[in-house]
Amino acid sequence: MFKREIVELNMGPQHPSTHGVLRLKLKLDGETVVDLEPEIGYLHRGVEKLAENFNYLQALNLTDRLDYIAAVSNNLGYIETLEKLGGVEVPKKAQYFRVLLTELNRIASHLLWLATHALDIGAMTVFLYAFREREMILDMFEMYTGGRLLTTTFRYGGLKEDIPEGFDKKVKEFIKIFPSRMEDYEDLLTENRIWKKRTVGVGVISAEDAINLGLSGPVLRGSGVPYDIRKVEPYEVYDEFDWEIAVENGCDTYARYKVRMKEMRQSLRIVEQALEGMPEGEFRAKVPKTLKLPKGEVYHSIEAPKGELGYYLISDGKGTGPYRLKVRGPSFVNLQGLKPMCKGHMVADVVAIIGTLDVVLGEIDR
Amino acid sequence: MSEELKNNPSPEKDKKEEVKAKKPVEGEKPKPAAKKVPPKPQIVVAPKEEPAEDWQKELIKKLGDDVEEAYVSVGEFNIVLKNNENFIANFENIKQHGFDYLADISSVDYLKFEGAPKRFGLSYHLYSMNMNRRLRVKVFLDENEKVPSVMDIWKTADFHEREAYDLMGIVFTGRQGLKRILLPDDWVGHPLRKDVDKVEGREEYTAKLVRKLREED
Amino acid sequence: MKGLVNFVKTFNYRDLIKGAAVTFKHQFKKTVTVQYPKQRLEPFPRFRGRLTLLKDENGEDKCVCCMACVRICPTQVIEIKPGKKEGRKTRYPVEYNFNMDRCIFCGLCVESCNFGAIELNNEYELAQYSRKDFYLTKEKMYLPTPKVEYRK
Repeated sequence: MFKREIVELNMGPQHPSTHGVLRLKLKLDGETVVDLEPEIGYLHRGVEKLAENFNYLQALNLTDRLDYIAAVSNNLGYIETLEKLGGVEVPKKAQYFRVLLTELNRIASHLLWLATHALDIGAMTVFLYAFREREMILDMFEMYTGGRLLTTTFRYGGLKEDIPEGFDKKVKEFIKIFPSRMEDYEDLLTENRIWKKRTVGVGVISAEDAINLGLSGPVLRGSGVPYDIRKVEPYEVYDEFDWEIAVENGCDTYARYKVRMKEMRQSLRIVEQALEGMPEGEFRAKVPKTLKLPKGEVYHSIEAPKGELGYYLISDGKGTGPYRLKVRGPSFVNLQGLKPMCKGHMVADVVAIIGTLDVVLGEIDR
Repeated sequence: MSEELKNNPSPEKDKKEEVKAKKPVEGEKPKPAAKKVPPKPQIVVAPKEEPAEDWQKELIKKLGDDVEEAYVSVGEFNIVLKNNENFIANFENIKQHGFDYLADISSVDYLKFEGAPKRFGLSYHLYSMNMNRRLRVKVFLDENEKVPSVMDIWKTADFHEREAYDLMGIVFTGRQGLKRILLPDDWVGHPLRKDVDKVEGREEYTAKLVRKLREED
Repeated sequence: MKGLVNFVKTFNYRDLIKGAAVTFKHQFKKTVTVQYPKQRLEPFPRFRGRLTLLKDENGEDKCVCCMACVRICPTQVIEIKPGKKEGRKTRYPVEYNFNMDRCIFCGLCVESCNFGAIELNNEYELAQYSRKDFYLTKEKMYLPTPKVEYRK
């Protein structure tokens, strides 16, 4: 008797809940999502093409701008790719400090995710609290590198500069404060009935589907797959620390929330151990001033806050820059999970699911 | 670069044109330095080793004649596959062998690369969740050569293949919705190809502009 | 009466009370925000602000025009015109043009300089009204950025 009509709705690219310039073409039956197609590329800067015209050190700047929330992780992945091909031994002190900074960055990234995800769903208070703690970490970055967001942190063979005086004091202060702050967030959200109603059972994806779709990071671990590159293929000195992979079996938005909360606690554990075990010594290996790498190709991936961040580097052995640099951004691949997750849900849940995927458009569009 | 600045202190129009034309060469900054050192710089090549482990040999045996080359380089196991009618079946074989996670598909233009058999290359980076091993499968393609899509095996290939089509112009057959992903739909050309040079006009906003404006004042 | 008893019995707002307690607790904590134009935060010594040229104790340029910064700059915003003058063994920059408009504040120029001739200062209020104000010549490179007054 009543004619059912499919309505096409355009969400974004300028929408506060899309966390950047992401445009979604939604097909709606009433308020239920029937089909969805992400339109990306609004922030495409041609990072891979630019890298071919740069030398290895200059290209490091480009990696900052991929996932600008977690610039340190991006730097680490890129520098490690170079080191893998160049075969250089990094001093222990540099390795410990790299781990420390990367884990702090992971906490900062997850805090930003928590803040914006909660804000999307309607919990404003967490947003303010999480930014307060993130500020402490950004202060540490500023103290060490001079940049707050685009850090350009590491260098081939070690660190850029030695660790400044008073840095450990700042980290210790953070380690002391952060667990109680974590409890505050958990008090506000974990048992909250509104939060649970908005997240439990929303955006379900099974483990097989998640692996087939190439999802990684907390999204995959929220589906019960214990895949964390820090554990399965340890880089730097991650195998020396005592920590666990955060896994949840819920497969939904709530499980992914819990994974990230657990992960922040584990990261804090690693930070604590890295600070305690920091050895004395050189912070940079002896490397030539202009970097030249042997002819060959290498793929190296690390566990960035968003998932598996891979760099595929080809060097022709002649130039001092990459012949080809391909970035496997975790957000780019994770975005493919949006369609199967959203099908059958309401429009308001799309906002929650974008938040739970934790996409950064700088990395998707490159 | 310093000599050039001396030669062109004033922004005359035709001279500026020259600078523009020179730009792509100038882009590779270390070049002037390379001229001073011996004319033929020695190229160090990362060594290629024979695959030694059992699972590697087993996989090569399973794929049979379709393997063109298999080697270990920088600790990574590479298999070069032929682009023939068995292409999809081979990938299904590889997946059955345990490589259930497709991390990445990278497209490469080997136009200016020495020692590549064909112009384009595709690298499939695979990971096995159970065995905790990595594998790279490579395919070389001529210009205008098409390659079957692996989207039926790994759904994640969708975005990767669209990106390879968009930026490198590699066409995948046997799949739907192969369209541009990062660039606008009406874009002409494929920018990651090596015969596409830098976009002109970029240099206008660099330090030369400061000089130009000051001389205008 | 029975309804009220039932209400009390099923009253289970522990989660909401827990959350409200957290926000209530925060009322008595110190404020962390800074009232910006009146209060200012001091950046750390390594902060990467605007590029500045440095002089040595005799008032001479430290820069010897080795062009290291020009070569390393990813955005090509530095241009140096070298020259010679009497009483100075090394070259000195006749012109030092810098386009802050396009600078990405990566600090690679300072890192590549072997003579300590340039540094990134600690200025962070670099906004200008006109694009032309970002085009810095050698004379402006020594001075701090002029303060911009609000105007309509």
